Amino acid sequence: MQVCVSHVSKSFKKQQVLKDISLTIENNEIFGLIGPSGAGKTTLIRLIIGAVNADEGEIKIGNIKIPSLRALRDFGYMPQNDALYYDLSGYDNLMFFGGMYGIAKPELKKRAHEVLKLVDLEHDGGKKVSNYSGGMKKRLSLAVALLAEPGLLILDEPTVGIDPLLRRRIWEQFNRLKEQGKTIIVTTHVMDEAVMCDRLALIYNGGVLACDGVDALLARTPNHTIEELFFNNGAQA
Amino acid sequence: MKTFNIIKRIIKQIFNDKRSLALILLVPLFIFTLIYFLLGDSDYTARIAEADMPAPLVDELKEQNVTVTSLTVDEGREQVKSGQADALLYKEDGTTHLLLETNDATKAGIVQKAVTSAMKELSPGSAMETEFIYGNSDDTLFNSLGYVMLGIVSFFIIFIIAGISFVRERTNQTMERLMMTPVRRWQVVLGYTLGFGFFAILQSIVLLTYDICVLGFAVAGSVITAGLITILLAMSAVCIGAFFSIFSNNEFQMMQFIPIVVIPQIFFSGIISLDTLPYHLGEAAKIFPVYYACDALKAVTIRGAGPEKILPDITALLVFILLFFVMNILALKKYRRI
Repeated sequence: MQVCVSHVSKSFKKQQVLKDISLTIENNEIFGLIGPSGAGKTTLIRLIIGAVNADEGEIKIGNIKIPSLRALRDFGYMPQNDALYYDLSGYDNLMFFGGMYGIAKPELKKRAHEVLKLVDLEHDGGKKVSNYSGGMKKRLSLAVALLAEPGLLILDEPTVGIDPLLRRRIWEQFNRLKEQGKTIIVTTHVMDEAVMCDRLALIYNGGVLACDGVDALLARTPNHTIEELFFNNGAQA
Repeated sequence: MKTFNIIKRIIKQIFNDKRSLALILLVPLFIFTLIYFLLGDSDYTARIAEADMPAPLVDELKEQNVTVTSLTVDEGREQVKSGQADALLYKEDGTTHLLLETNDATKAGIVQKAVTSAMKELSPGSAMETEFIYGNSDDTLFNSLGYVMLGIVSFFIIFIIAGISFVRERTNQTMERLMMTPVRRWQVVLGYTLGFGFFAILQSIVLLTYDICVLGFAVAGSVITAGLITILLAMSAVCIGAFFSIFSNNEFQMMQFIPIVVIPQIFFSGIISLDTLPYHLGEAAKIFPVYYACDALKAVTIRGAGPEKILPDITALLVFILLFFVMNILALKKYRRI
């Protein structure tokens, strides 16, 4: 599913957070938004999902202009926080969010078990989320985003606070989802994670420093590291 | 269907959170037991004088924990004035009148309870006028205190629980996630209102059953009507709690609304006589839902009023619920413009 961001600007109380951003996320790719904290990544994500309105510009998911009630069926969203109900079990969380997508109960039960297995929580589904570890919460949060089998996944810092081993497993998961034809937008400020994306947009100070394939971007730098991209492009900007 | 899904989730959440459940169901019982011992059945035997009341009623009165003397109206009035009797019961123009010296809460409460229960045995739903020799309040402050507390306690607890759980949904971003599913804003607000409404109903049933069966509170009118009033009040507490949570960034900020939203309602609920306030300040009570609920509760439990008499109060409560319901739907625009 294609996402089209064209000439989008956003200010909060006179402070401009995003300046004239244009990006196109192609169908069936893993697209990374990288940049330091406070650069405007989360704001951009929230504009794409329609949680906040752009001051200027237009955003489209597929052919649907955002915000739209219909587009809400097409993507799965994983916020930066866990955004789970701690007083409910993992399974009940899935049943609740699945119900909000209007999935019929027998189908939903099947899906809930499928996604629990996918994120390696099949034996912990009955436990209350308040008893989960940080990594387990993160995985359950990802499971919620996958539940309705959306064509587009929008994940805000999905691997923050997750140990390297689990991070690698989650990325393997992303690649498998991509093979199934899904589009994934992911934000990160971990540079070695960025190289696993297909294409990257470097967000800095509310603008796009550069947007290209990972290899093409790395080729621009002398030592072929992502950090250098910020220094080089930042100097130009 | 989605609304039902939200209702189910809230019920599950609270049942999984034993502390909140205890706050809703057990704490009111504790408070009412306290009130019962503070204001309720002391060992005091009230002295009631009666003038030409029907014999069955006098017999029934004697069954209660009171001494009854038969006098003329004038003698009785003298006795009440001099403090020899606590109250005089007489008939005038076909209505039963209860004359009390002043509104000493404990004594008057005992008298009124005895008379109410006696009259209820014989002719349920019959009207009674209460008068005072000193102080011209035509309101019955004392025995009603328990029912005023019924309104306040139920409002306070549901306000806190609903408000804080709404704040939590915002701080841990589950609200944002919920709004990113294809749900409509009114479905979210309705689900919330009815989900907590379920606990409001449960609380009303438990509390009224305990009050009537264990503590022996007398209800002159219909218990079901009284229950419906507390449920409506609790529903308004859900909507108002959710509304004020919009202006709170964390649980503590929600608590900061208690002095502004809850405490004034206690003052204006009927504990303090509103007619005597200067500058028509008593009129201010009319902006608080607890005022209407307590007014209706008093009418039903003490004066034995039927549903038709409390219609204005019920309407006012429904208006409050609807008003805050709509404001909450609009407030959710913060999460999603559509």
